[in-house]
Amino acid sequence: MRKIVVFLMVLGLGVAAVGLAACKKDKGVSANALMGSWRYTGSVVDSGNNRVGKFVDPAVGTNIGDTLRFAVPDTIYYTFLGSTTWSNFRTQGNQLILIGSAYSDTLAIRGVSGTQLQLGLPGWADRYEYRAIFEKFNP
Amino acid sequence: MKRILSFGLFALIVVALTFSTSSCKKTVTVIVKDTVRSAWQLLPLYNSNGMAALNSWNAGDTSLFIVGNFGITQVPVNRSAFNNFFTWPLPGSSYIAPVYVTPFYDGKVCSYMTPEGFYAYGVPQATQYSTISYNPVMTPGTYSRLSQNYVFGSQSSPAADYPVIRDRYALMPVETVGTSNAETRFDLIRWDSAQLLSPFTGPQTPVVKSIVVSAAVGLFTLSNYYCAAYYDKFFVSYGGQFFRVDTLGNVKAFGPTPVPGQRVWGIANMFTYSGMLFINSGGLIYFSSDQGENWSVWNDFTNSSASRVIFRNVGKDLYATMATLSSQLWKVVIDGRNLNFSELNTDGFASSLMTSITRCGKYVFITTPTGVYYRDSTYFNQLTKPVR
Repeated sequence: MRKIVVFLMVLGLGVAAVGLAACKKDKGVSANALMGSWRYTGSVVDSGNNRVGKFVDPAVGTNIGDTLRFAVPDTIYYTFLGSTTWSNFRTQGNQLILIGSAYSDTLAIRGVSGTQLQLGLPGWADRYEYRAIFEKFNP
Repeated sequence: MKRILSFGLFALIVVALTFSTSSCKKTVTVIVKDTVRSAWQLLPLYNSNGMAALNSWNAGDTSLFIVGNFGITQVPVNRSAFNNFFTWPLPGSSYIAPVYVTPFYDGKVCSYMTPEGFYAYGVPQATQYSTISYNPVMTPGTYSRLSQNYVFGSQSSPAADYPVIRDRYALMPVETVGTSNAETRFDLIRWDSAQLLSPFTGPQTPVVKSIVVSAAVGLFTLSNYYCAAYYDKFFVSYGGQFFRVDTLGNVKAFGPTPVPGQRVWGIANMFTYSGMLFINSGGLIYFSSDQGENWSVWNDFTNSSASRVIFRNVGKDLYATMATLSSQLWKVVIDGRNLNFSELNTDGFASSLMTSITRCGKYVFITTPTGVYYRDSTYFNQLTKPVR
């Protein structure tokens, strides 16, 4: 009897531990990690089956901009062929939310390091995801 | 003992389950839009003059001039409030006889056609001004072509049909030669610009050179007149034919279209970009890389929304506005032979045709027939939707 009780107690603790582990907060990407200037270098396409192929479509980058500049506290400047527009942005988890004056767009942050930023744009019917790759530079 | 154990076990499982679910607090973020103040503000008091704002230009960073259909208004900029307006009537025009089409204005000279003829007006500075006027002498038995038929608020850009080159040259169609529509007399006039730009000078008579322009193909038709000045040359769409006229009066006739064999849709507007000159002919876009002497088809956007916009140069940048009563505004970038449109924030605009965009001081001003709007130029390029 005591063995059963001990076993059940251990099981209970185990369940609690698993629950806690599963609840580890996903802090996501901090806006600070994005600050600075980024230059579009190319794209890949992800079909969702781990088949990430190299894919260069200028439209993918230019849908966002040749270069991006994230500025404190919440402004992103898009430069395309030397012409600059801007909007506000915020991050939520791994999402980059671009806030226009009337409509917002949400991109997926697929990776950000000190030198590279990968942004995911939903492709046709969400079956693909285009990933635009940017590298950090000093303007 | 058994009961205690069972209770303890039950309590433990409840605690474990509660802990594992309640600690997953979700982050909910609400995006709050600031609706207290619209992005574009109406320039107060301007409507009190009863004029439709048709054009504007800046004199340096401190004065905005708004040209209406019978007056010109100076707005001092760089003040905390816009409340010191000075309005002068446009000579030769009045409330009941406003100027035809949109006056031309380049910051120094404002020119326009009224029921009394052509006028050029030195920009009023310190309430002093000079004007010249010209009313051509008609030949009996001919048909007048001086006052053309236009759409109000000329849906073209530059939104003017009587532009002035180097403060002293203007061109206008005058009359048919005989009664045939095969030839038309244009008058190229020149006056003393130093005198026009000086305050309170006496009247002067312009020097006139009459030019007879022949239809390259067939006869001239009745269609909207368009004239713009680039590189010190006039580019004219008259009677369904396209011409280049220089300030010496030399005419190059291109025929119905800048490039032979294209659709004859007249010229909606012209603009420059990266040193090239463009013609928008209802979405069919021509370009010239030799200052308008030779033209090529650049691209055909006939069936897209690009066919319904007016392209506007603002400094080195290019913008587009709707040619209809809609207040959409785009920043345009030319990429190869494509047009990249980024729609900008127009929150605050009444739905109205935009007639001009002028940057002055720290503001950008946009005129519409129903009012003038302004916004801090820092925010001018704010996107309505970030991903194009």
